[in-house]
Amino acid sequence: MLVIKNLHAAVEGHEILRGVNLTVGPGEVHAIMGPNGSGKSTLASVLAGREEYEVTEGEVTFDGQALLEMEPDERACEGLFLAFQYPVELPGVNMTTFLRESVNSVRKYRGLEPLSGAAFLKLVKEKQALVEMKESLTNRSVNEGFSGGEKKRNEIFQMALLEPKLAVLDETDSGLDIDALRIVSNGVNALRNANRSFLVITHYQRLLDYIVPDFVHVLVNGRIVKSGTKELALELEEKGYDWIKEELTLEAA
Amino acid sequence: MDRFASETQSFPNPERQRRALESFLGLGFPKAKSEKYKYSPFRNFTLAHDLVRQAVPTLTVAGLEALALPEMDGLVVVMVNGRWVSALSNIDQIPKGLYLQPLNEAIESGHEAAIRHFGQVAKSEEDAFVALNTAFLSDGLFVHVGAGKMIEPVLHILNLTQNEADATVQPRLLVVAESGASIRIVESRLSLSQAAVFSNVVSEWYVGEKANVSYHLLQDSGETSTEHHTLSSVQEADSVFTTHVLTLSGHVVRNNQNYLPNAEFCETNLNAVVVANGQMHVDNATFVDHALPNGTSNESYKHILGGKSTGVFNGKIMVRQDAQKTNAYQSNKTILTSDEARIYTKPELEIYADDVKCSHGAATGKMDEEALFYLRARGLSASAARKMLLIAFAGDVTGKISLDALRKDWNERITERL
Repeated sequence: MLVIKNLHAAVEGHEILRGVNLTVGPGEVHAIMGPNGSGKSTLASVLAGREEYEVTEGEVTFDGQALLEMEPDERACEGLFLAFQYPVELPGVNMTTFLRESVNSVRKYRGLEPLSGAAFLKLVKEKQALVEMKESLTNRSVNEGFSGGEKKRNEIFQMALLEPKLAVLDETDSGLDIDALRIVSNGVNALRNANRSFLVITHYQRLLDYIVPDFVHVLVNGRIVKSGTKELALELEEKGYDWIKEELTLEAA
Repeated sequence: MDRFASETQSFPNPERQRRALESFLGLGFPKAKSEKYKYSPFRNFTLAHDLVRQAVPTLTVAGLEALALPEMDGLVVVMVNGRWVSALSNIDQIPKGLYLQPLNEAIESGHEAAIRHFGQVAKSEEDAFVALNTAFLSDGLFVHVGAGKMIEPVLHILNLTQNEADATVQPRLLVVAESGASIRIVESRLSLSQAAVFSNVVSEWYVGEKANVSYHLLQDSGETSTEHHTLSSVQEADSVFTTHVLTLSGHVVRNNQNYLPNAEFCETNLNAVVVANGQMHVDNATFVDHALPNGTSNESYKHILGGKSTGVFNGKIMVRQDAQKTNAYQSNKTILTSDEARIYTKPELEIYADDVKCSHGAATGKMDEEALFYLRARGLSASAARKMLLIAFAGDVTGKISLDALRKDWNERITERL
């Protein structure tokens, strides 16, 4: 599904990713953990195609295609979804208009007819239920005046509507209370299937109690320095990130 | 001067027009150092073309339909070069209480309200452009709504220019809404020819006690047109006057909009969207003059400027000493979609009363890159994302239009220009 090879990326001349290697198979859930500033969000941004990140080396293939060659919207249409750490408020852009334009853009790319008004509304209702989102939110401007939890639920709601092949969740748990965390996780779990992969980026292990990963990777200083199964996350929770850093220092010495 | 003098001979009211001409010649066009026209090509303006008084409309009903304008199923008055064309107008279903007539006829035939208000809201003695218009007024439109009459159908005034050669036209409008009256007016200003036409437009609005008048103006006369548009209004107590202006084309467009809420508890709403491209120069000078207490004004002007276009916004709000409890709000926001577009913006608040609420905000910026990225990450193309954000930006203003078909049409027109 996703193959990242020796990925290096920089922002304003500062190298942040220093050779990331990662392979995500269909239906797999991979968690990327790491201390602040390790490059987790940069990885998400590079995958989604944020312009200010410059890829200096390496390659990424997504479903067999060269991902880095694609525009951000092509990536979305090909089935890559980024759930934003900070969902953007769009004053004056009506949620329904936005969702419809989004769904139909993706459908058009995939050679499908646009959804009729009725079919679209039915889909919206169905997916809204998945994240227990208030119906009134769809009459509002996108994310404007939404609470932190509502914004994150809105991301998962959009993911459900777009049915991606690969979803990258960028610190989706940050700033959530326990109820919102549960709702968001339930939404994600409902969307797990044999063909859909997830890259779950998080600072904390707690999210992984709800979204149980197949693999856990630790990103430090722009590189994946340790990979394992979900037990690795528990170990990190217990010991923090310092022991890994110490290990690295020892190796280097 | 001789040329002007001979032209005025044949006018319906040579005396009044001669006086206006004298005013015009005395005042003259704005001088090089004019502060009011600081950024405007109207400084040292000269009339380069012939003055057109005879309309030569070749427009047909089919041609009219081809313009595909909204709100055409109510009352339609077609004006070509400032003159009423009855063959194309449709006022068969005119409701009781609404009176429409060529303005000069109304004055000559002694219509009391026309005589009472003509030249009183926009004064020739004070403004060269108004004087020029008055001097060469040959037709114009008079709209009168009787006391207590609420006019259900929308009145659509289609103001067209059509000239083979470069020319100057002087369209004029006088709207009088008596006490308790209500009317919604849409005006579309379009050009049917490529000639460089200078339109010196004047509209006067008298909004009586407890009356409610809304006006929606589309300015889209093409890139060879020059328009100087004076809108002046006077409001009586408890009245509401709302204007929406959408400016989409014009080589140079200058709008002087003067609002005088001249009694207590007036509500004045002025909204505008400017979408400029190429070399367009659009200059909006608004003046809300709160004279008496308990008035409210809401002003929202939005610019989307691309190409090498220039926008100017000068928003003056005066709160006079007597105008206690005034609530005045002004907002002017601009998105520059190219590096070469420019905006000059100057809010000007003069407040002489102490118990008032006044606020203003001006913001200028580029497209929000993060918002664009968010939309693209949801599958929208760069161009679709850009349009969606700009329509939303304009939506603050267009969203206030209560006529559904018009709002939809204006949004489509804006989208086409983005």
